[in-house]
Amino acid sequence: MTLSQATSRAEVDAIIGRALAGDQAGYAELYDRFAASLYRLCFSLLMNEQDAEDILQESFLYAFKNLHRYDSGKASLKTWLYTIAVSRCRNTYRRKRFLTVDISQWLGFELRAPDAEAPETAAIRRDAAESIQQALAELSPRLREAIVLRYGQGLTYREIAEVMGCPQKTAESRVRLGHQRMRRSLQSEGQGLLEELLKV
Amino acid sequence: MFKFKHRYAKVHMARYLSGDLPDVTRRRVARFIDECQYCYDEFLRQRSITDELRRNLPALGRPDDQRLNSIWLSLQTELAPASGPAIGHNHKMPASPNLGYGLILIALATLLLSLTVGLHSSLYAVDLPQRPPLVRLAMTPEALALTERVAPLHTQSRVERGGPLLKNTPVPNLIH
Repeated sequence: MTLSQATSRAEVDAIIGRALAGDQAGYAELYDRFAASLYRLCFSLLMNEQDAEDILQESFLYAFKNLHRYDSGKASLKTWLYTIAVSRCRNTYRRKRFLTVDISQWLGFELRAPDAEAPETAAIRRDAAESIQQALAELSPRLREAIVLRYGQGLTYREIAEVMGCPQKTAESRVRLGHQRMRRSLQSEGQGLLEELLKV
Repeated sequence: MFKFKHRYAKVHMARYLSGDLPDVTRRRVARFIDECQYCYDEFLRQRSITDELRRNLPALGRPDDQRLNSIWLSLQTELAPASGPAIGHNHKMPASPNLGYGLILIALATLLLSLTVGLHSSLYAVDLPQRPPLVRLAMTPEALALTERVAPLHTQSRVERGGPLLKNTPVPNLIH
Protein backbone atom coordinates (compact mmCIF):
# COMPACT_ATOMS: atom_id res chain seq x y z
CA MET A 1 0.00 0.00 0.00
CA THR A 2 1.40 3.39 -1.00
CA LEU A 3 1.47 6.41 1.30
CA SER A 4 -1.33 8.15 -0.60
CA GLN A 5 -3.47 5.02 -0.46
CA ALA A 6 -2.88 4.72 3.28
CA THR A 7 -3.78 8.37 3.78
CA SER A 8 -6.91 8.00 1.70
CA ARG A 9 -7.89 4.90 3.65
CA ALA A 10 -7.35 6.66 6.97
CA GLU A 11 -9.52 9.54 5.74
CA VAL A 12 -12.28 7.14 4.71
CA ASP A 13 -12.06 5.38 8.07
CA ALA A 14 -12.46 8.72 9.82
CA ILE A 15 -15.54 9.53 7.74
CA ILE A 16 -17.01 6.10 8.51
CA GLY A 17 -16.39 6.72 12.20
CA ARG A 18 -18.27 10.01 12.01
CA ALA A 19 -21.14 8.43 10.11
CA LEU A 20 -21.43 5.62 12.64
CA ALA A 21 -21.44 8.18 15.44
CA GLY A 22 -24.60 9.61 13.89
CA ASP A 23 -23.20 12.37 11.70
CA GLN A 24 -25.41 12.47 8.59
CA ALA A 25 -22.82 14.51 6.72
CA GLY A 26 -20.52 11.51 6.94
CA TYR A 27 -22.90 9.46 4.83
CA ALA A 28 -23.19 12.24 2.28
CA GLU A 29 -19.42 12.47 2.11
CA LEU A 30 -19.07 8.73 1.51
CA TYR A 31 -21.69 8.94 -1.21
CA ASP A 32 -19.94 11.87 -2.90
CA ARG A 33 -16.65 10.04 -2.80
CA PHE A 34 -17.76 6.74 -4.32
CA ALA A 35 -21.07 7.22 -6.14
CA ALA A 36 -19.67 8.26 -9.51
CA SER A 37 -17.21 5.40 -9.83
CA LEU A 38 -19.76 2.91 -8.56
CA TYR A 39 -22.29 4.14 -11.09
CA ARG A 40 -19.73 3.80 -13.90
CA LEU A 41 -18.98 0.25 -12.78
CA CYS A 42 -22.67 -0.68 -12.76
CA PHE A 43 -23.30 0.94 -16.11
CA SER A 44 -20.29 -0.77 -17.71
CA LEU A 45 -21.49 -4.15 -16.49
CA LEU A 46 -25.19 -3.74 -17.26
CA MET A 47 -25.13 -1.28 -20.19
CA ASN A 48 -28.39 0.16 -18.99
CA GLU A 49 -28.84 3.48 -17.22
CA GLN A 50 -31.96 2.56 -15.26
CA ASP A 51 -30.48 -0.70 -14.01
CA ALA A 52 -27.25 1.07 -13.07
CA GLU A 53 -29.20 3.67 -11.07
CA ASP A 54 -31.18 0.98 -9.26
CA ILE A 55 -28.07 -1.02 -8.39
CA LEU A 56 -26.26 2.08 -7.21
CA GLN A 57 -29.11 2.98 -4.89
CA GLU A 58 -29.51 -0.58 -3.60
CA SER A 59 -25.78 -0.93 -2.99
CA PHE A 60 -25.53 2.28 -0.98
CA LEU A 61 -28.68 1.44 0.94
CA TYR A 62 -27.23 -1.93 1.92
CA ALA A 63 -23.81 -0.49 2.66
CA PHE A 64 -25.13 2.31 4.88
CA LYS A 65 -27.39 -0.02 6.82
CA ASN A 66 -24.53 -2.44 7.34
CA LEU A 67 -21.73 0.05 7.76
CA HIS A 68 -21.06 -1.18 11.31
CA ARG A 69 -20.20 -4.58 9.82
CA TYR A 70 -17.53 -3.19 7.53
CA ASP A 71 -14.04 -4.20 8.64
CA SER A 72 -11.38 -1.84 7.33
CA GLY A 73 -8.72 -4.41 8.23
CA LYS A 74 -10.05 -6.84 5.63
CA ALA A 75 -10.63 -4.62 2.61
CA SER A 76 -10.89 -1.01 1.59
CA LEU A 77 -14.35 0.56 1.55
CA LYS A 78 -14.07 0.93 -2.22
CA THR A 79 -13.49 -2.82 -2.64
CA TRP A 80 -16.33 -3.57 -0.22
CA LEU A 81 -18.73 -1.32 -2.11
CA TYR A 82 -17.63 -2.79 -5.44
CA THR A 83 -18.21 -6.29 -4.10
CA ILE A 84 -21.76 -5.35 -3.09
CA ALA A 85 -22.46 -3.70 -6.45
CA VAL A 86 -20.97 -6.53 -8.54
CA SER A 87 -23.01 -9.08 -6.61
CA ARG A 88 -26.18 -7.12 -7.35
CA CYS A 89 -25.22 -6.70 -11.00
CA ARG A 90 -24.79 -10.48 -11.22
CA ASN A 91 -28.29 -10.94 -9.85
CA THR A 92 -29.58 -8.52 -12.45
CA TYR A 93 -28.01 -10.23 -15.41
CA ARG A 94 -29.01 -13.60 -14.06
CA ARG A 95 -32.56 -12.32 -14.01
CA LYS A 96 -32.32 -10.95 -17.49
CA ARG A 97 -30.36 -13.97 -18.71
CA PHE A 98 -28.85 -12.08 -21.56
CA LEU A 99 -27.62 -8.59 -21.94
CA THR A 100 -29.91 -6.28 -23.79
CA VAL A 101 -28.09 -3.36 -25.31
CA ASP A 102 -30.14 -0.31 -26.01
CA ILE A 103 -29.03 1.16 -29.30
CA SER A 104 -30.55 4.51 -28.40
CA GLN A 105 -28.25 4.66 -25.41
CA TRP A 106 -25.30 4.09 -27.67
CA LEU A 107 -26.36 6.92 -29.86
CA GLY A 108 -26.96 9.17 -26.89
CA PHE A 109 -23.71 8.18 -25.25
CA GLU A 110 -20.87 10.61 -25.60
CA LEU A 111 -17.43 10.73 -24.13
CA ARG A 112 -16.61 13.99 -22.44
CA ALA A 113 -14.62 15.83 -25.02
CA PRO A 114 -12.74 19.07 -24.64
CA ASP A 115 -14.67 22.11 -25.85
CA ALA A 116 -12.14 22.87 -28.53
CA GLU A 117 -12.30 19.36 -29.99
CA ALA A 118 -12.85 19.23 -33.72
CA PRO A 119 -16.06 17.54 -34.93
CA GLU A 120 -14.02 14.83 -36.68
CA THR A 121 -12.15 14.00 -33.50
CA ALA A 122 -15.38 13.95 -31.51
CA ALA A 123 -16.90 11.59 -34.07
CA ILE A 124 -13.90 9.27 -33.83
CA ARG A 125 -14.15 9.28 -30.06
CA ARG A 126 -17.83 8.47 -30.26
CA ASP A 127 -17.15 5.62 -32.67
CA ALA A 128 -14.43 4.31 -30.42
CA ALA A 129 -16.73 4.39 -27.41
CA GLU A 130 -19.42 2.55 -29.32
CA SER A 131 -16.96 -0.08 -30.49
CA ILE A 132 -15.68 -0.61 -26.98
CA GLN A 133 -19.17 -0.87 -25.61
CA GLN A 134 -20.10 -3.40 -28.26
CA ALA A 135 -16.96 -5.42 -27.63
CA LEU A 136 -17.69 -5.37 -23.90
CA ALA A 137 -21.24 -6.56 -24.49
CA GLU A 138 -19.90 -9.54 -26.41
CA LEU A 139 -17.80 -10.70 -23.46
CA SER A 140 -19.11 -13.17 -20.93
CA PRO A 141 -20.16 -11.50 -17.65
CA ARG A 142 -17.09 -12.71 -15.73
CA LEU A 143 -14.64 -11.49 -18.37
CA ARG A 144 -16.50 -8.20 -18.65
CA GLU A 145 -16.25 -7.72 -14.89
CA ALA A 146 -12.53 -8.40 -14.98
CA ILE A 147 -11.90 -5.98 -17.85
CA VAL A 148 -14.07 -3.22 -16.38
CA LEU A 149 -12.50 -3.52 -12.96
CA ARG A 150 -8.98 -3.56 -14.40
CA TYR A 151 -9.16 -0.89 -17.08
CA GLY A 152 -12.30 1.02 -16.19
CA GLN A 153 -11.71 1.27 -12.45
CA GLY A 154 -7.96 0.75 -12.30
CA LEU A 155 -8.09 -1.94 -9.61
CA THR A 156 -5.10 -4.15 -8.92
CA TYR A 157 -5.35 -7.88 -9.59
CA ARG A 158 -5.57 -8.48 -5.87
CA GLU A 159 -8.50 -6.07 -5.56
CA ILE A 160 -10.18 -7.62 -8.61
CA ALA A 161 -9.86 -11.03 -6.98
CA GLU A 162 -11.46 -9.67 -3.79
CA VAL A 163 -14.34 -8.07 -5.65
CA MET A 164 -14.97 -11.04 -7.92
CA GLY A 165 -14.52 -13.55 -5.12
CA CYS A 166 -11.91 -15.63 -6.89
CA PRO A 167 -8.18 -16.37 -6.52
CA GLN A 168 -5.78 -13.73 -7.82
CA LYS A 169 -4.49 -16.06 -10.57
CA THR A 170 -8.05 -16.51 -11.82
CA ALA A 171 -8.52 -12.75 -11.87
CA GLU A 172 -5.31 -12.40 -13.88
CA SER A 173 -6.30 -15.01 -16.42
CA ARG A 174 -9.79 -13.48 -16.75
CA VAL A 175 -8.27 -10.10 -17.51
CA ARG A 176 -5.92 -11.71 -20.04
CA LEU A 177 -8.73 -13.65 -21.72
CA GLY A 178 -10.99 -10.61 -21.73
CA HIS A 179 -8.17 -8.58 -23.22
CA GLN A 180 -7.70 -11.14 -26.02
CA ARG A 181 -11.41 -11.27 -26.80
CA MET A 182 -11.66 -7.49 -26.81
CA ARG A 183 -8.75 -7.32 -29.18
CA ARG A 184 -10.38 -9.82 -31.52
CA SER A 185 -13.70 -7.93 -31.45
CA LEU A 186 -12.10 -4.57 -31.95
CA GLN A 187 -9.84 -5.82 -34.72
CA SER A 188 -12.83 -7.23 -36.54
CA GLU A 189 -14.33 -3.74 -36.37
CA GLY A 190 -11.41 -2.59 -38.46
CA GLN A 191 -7.78 -1.93 -37.91
CA GLY A 192 -8.21 1.48 -39.52
CA LEU A 193 -10.30 2.76 -36.62
CA LEU A 194 -7.66 1.66 -34.16
CA GLU A 195 -4.95 3.43 -36.07
CA GLU A 196 -7.04 6.56 -36.21
CA LEU A 197 -7.60 6.34 -32.49
CA LEU A 198 -3.92 6.04 -31.83
CA LYS A 199 -3.32 9.19 -33.81
CA VAL A 200 -5.86 11.21 -31.77
CA MET B 1 11.42 -22.96 -28.23
CA PHE B 2 10.07 -20.63 -30.85
CA LYS B 3 6.44 -21.40 -30.06
CA PHE B 4 7.06 -21.35 -26.32
CA LYS B 5 8.53 -17.87 -26.63
CA HIS B 6 5.49 -16.56 -28.49
CA ARG B 7 3.10 -18.14 -26.05
CA TYR B 8 5.03 -16.91 -23.05
CA ALA B 9 5.09 -13.35 -24.35
CA LYS B 10 1.43 -13.43 -25.29
CA VAL B 11 0.31 -14.78 -21.91
CA HIS B 12 2.28 -12.22 -19.93
CA MET B 13 1.89 -9.23 -22.22
CA ALA B 14 -1.14 -7.63 -20.56
CA ARG B 15 0.54 -7.71 -17.16
CA TYR B 16 3.79 -6.57 -18.71
CA LEU B 17 2.03 -3.53 -20.10
CA SER B 18 0.37 -2.73 -16.79
CA GLY B 19 3.65 -3.17 -14.92
CA ASP B 20 2.36 -6.00 -12.75
CA LEU B 21 4.95 -8.64 -13.61
CA PRO B 22 7.65 -9.73 -11.19
CA ASP B 23 11.18 -8.68 -12.20
CA VAL B 24 12.36 -12.00 -13.63
CA THR B 25 9.30 -12.47 -15.84
CA ARG B 26 9.30 -8.84 -16.91
CA ARG B 27 12.93 -9.04 -18.04
CA ARG B 28 12.27 -12.24 -19.96
CA VAL B 29 9.25 -10.77 -21.78
CA ALA B 30 11.23 -7.60 -22.54
CA ARG B 31 14.02 -9.71 -24.06
CA PHE B 32 11.53 -11.59 -26.26
CA ILE B 33 10.04 -8.30 -27.43
CA ASP B 34 13.50 -6.98 -28.28
CA GLU B 35 14.68 -10.09 -30.10
CA CYS B 36 11.57 -11.50 -31.78
CA GLN B 37 9.52 -9.75 -34.47
CA TYR B 38 6.41 -11.79 -33.67
CA CYS B 39 6.63 -10.85 -29.97
CA TYR B 40 7.22 -7.22 -30.87
CA ASP B 41 4.10 -7.18 -33.09
CA GLU B 42 2.14 -8.78 -30.28
CA PHE B 43 3.44 -6.10 -27.93
CA LEU B 44 2.27 -3.33 -30.31
CA ARG B 45 -1.15 -4.90 -30.78
CA GLN B 46 -1.77 -5.41 -27.08
CA ARG B 47 -0.43 -1.99 -26.21
CA SER B 48 -2.84 -0.32 -28.59
CA ILE B 49 -5.77 -2.22 -27.08
CA THR B 50 -4.63 -1.52 -23.54
CA ASP B 51 -4.26 2.18 -24.30
CA GLU B 52 -7.68 2.24 -25.87
CA LEU B 53 -9.29 0.50 -22.90
CA ARG B 54 -7.53 2.74 -20.42
CA ARG B 55 -8.58 5.84 -22.31
CA ASN B 56 -12.17 4.94 -23.05
CA LEU B 57 -13.41 2.64 -20.33
CA PRO B 58 -13.18 5.13 -17.46
CA ALA B 59 -15.40 7.48 -19.47
CA LEU B 60 -18.02 4.82 -20.09
CA GLY B 61 -21.27 5.69 -18.32
CA ARG B 62 -19.91 8.69 -16.48
CA PRO B 63 -22.92 10.11 -14.63
CA ASP B 64 -23.83 13.78 -14.41
CA ASP B 65 -24.32 15.52 -11.05
CA GLN B 66 -28.07 15.79 -11.53
CA ARG B 67 -28.44 12.03 -11.82
CA LEU B 68 -26.30 11.39 -8.75
CA ASN B 69 -28.21 14.01 -6.76
CA SER B 70 -31.55 12.45 -7.60
CA ILE B 71 -30.26 9.03 -6.54
CA TRP B 72 -28.98 10.55 -3.27
CA LEU B 73 -32.38 12.11 -2.59
CA SER B 74 -34.22 8.85 -3.09
CA LEU B 75 -31.58 7.08 -1.01
CA GLN B 76 -32.20 9.50 1.85
CA THR B 77 -35.94 8.95 1.56
CA GLU B 78 -35.45 5.20 1.80
CA LEU B 79 -33.07 5.48 4.71
CA ALA B 80 -35.05 7.99 6.74
CA PRO B 81 -37.86 5.83 8.19
CA ALA B 82 -35.61 2.91 9.00
CA SER B 83 -32.68 4.82 10.36
CA GLY B 84 -34.12 7.45 12.67
CA PRO B 85 -31.42 9.57 14.20
CA ALA B 86 -28.47 7.51 12.96
CA ILE B 87 -28.23 5.24 9.96
CA GLY B 88 -26.95 1.74 10.46
CA HIS B 89 -25.11 1.57 13.75
CA ASN B 90 -27.89 2.59 16.10
CA HIS B 91 -30.49 1.18 13.81
CA LYS B 92 -33.22 -0.52 15.85
CA MET B 93 -34.09 -3.95 14.61
CA PRO B 94 -37.78 -4.26 13.77
CA ALA B 95 -39.76 -6.73 15.86
CA SER B 96 -39.37 -10.23 14.57
CA PRO B 97 -42.47 -11.63 12.80
CA ASN B 98 -42.09 -14.82 14.89
CA LEU B 99 -42.50 -12.78 18.05
CA GLY B 100 -45.68 -11.29 16.64
CA TYR B 101 -47.11 -14.71 15.85
CA GLY B 102 -46.16 -15.90 19.34
CA LEU B 103 -48.02 -13.03 20.95
CA ILE B 104 -51.11 -13.74 18.86
CA LEU B 105 -50.98 -17.43 19.85
CA ILE B 106 -50.65 -16.55 23.53
CA ALA B 107 -53.64 -14.21 23.25
CA LEU B 108 -55.71 -16.92 21.53
CA ALA B 109 -54.71 -19.53 24.11
CA THR B 110 -55.69 -17.17 26.94
CA LEU B 111 -59.01 -16.49 25.29
CA LEU B 112 -59.73 -20.21 24.84
CA LEU B 113 -58.70 -20.96 28.42
CA SER B 114 -60.92 -18.27 29.83
CA LEU B 115 -63.81 -19.49 27.70
CA THR B 116 -63.33 -23.08 28.89
CA VAL B 117 -63.10 -22.08 32.56
CA GLY B 118 -66.16 -19.93 32.14
CA LEU B 119 -68.04 -22.86 30.61
CA HIS B 120 -67.06 -25.15 33.51
CA SER B 121 -68.13 -22.65 36.15
CA SER B 122 -71.43 -22.13 34.35
CA LEU B 123 -71.93 -25.89 34.28
CA TYR B 124 -71.39 -26.11 38.04
CA ALA B 125 -73.78 -23.28 38.50
CA VAL B 126 -76.66 -25.31 37.01
CA ASP B 127 -78.96 -26.90 39.65
CA LEU B 128 -78.68 -30.64 39.32
CA PRO B 129 -81.58 -32.84 40.40
CA GLN B 130 -81.36 -34.32 43.92
CA ARG B 131 -80.13 -37.88 44.29
CA PRO B 132 -82.96 -40.25 45.15
CA PRO B 133 -82.86 -41.37 48.84
CA LEU B 134 -81.40 -44.77 49.53
CA VAL B 135 -83.97 -47.45 49.73
CA ARG B 136 -83.54 -49.44 52.87
CA LEU B 137 -84.58 -53.01 52.43
CA ALA B 138 -86.09 -54.68 55.34
CA MET B 139 -84.15 -57.80 56.24
CA THR B 140 -85.54 -60.72 58.09
CA PRO B 141 -83.60 -61.99 61.16
CA GLU B 142 -82.66 -65.18 59.24
CA ALA B 143 -81.18 -63.20 56.41
CA LEU B 144 -79.18 -61.06 58.84
CA ALA B 145 -77.76 -64.13 60.56
CA LEU B 146 -76.77 -65.66 57.26
CA THR B 147 -75.01 -62.47 56.18
CA GLU B 148 -73.00 -62.40 59.40
CA ARG B 149 -71.84 -65.98 58.85
CA VAL B 150 -70.99 -65.66 55.15
CA ALA B 151 -69.19 -62.30 55.24
CA PRO B 152 -66.03 -63.50 57.12
CA LEU B 153 -65.69 -66.44 54.76
CA HIS B 154 -65.71 -64.10 51.75
CA THR B 155 -62.95 -61.96 53.20
CA GLN B 156 -60.72 -65.05 53.84
CA SER B 157 -58.74 -66.45 50.92
CA ARG B 158 -59.23 -70.00 49.85
CA VAL B 159 -55.74 -70.98 51.06
CA GLU B 160 -56.31 -69.49 54.54
CA ARG B 161 -59.45 -71.44 54.81
CA GLY B 162 -57.42 -74.60 54.10
CA GLY B 163 -59.65 -75.55 51.25
CA PRO B 164 -58.29 -77.51 48.30
CA LEU B 165 -57.37 -75.57 45.17
CA LEU B 166 -58.99 -78.13 42.97
CA LYS B 167 -61.65 -77.74 40.43
CA ASN B 168 -65.04 -79.12 41.13
CA THR B 169 -64.55 -78.72 44.88
CA PRO B 170 -67.98 -78.92 46.40
CA VAL B 171 -69.28 -75.70 47.83
CA PRO B 172 -69.44 -76.00 51.62
CA ASN B 173 -72.91 -76.21 52.87
CA LEU B 174 -73.25 -73.15 54.98
CA ILE B 175 -76.93 -73.27 55.48
CA HIS B 176 -77.96 -75.77 58.13
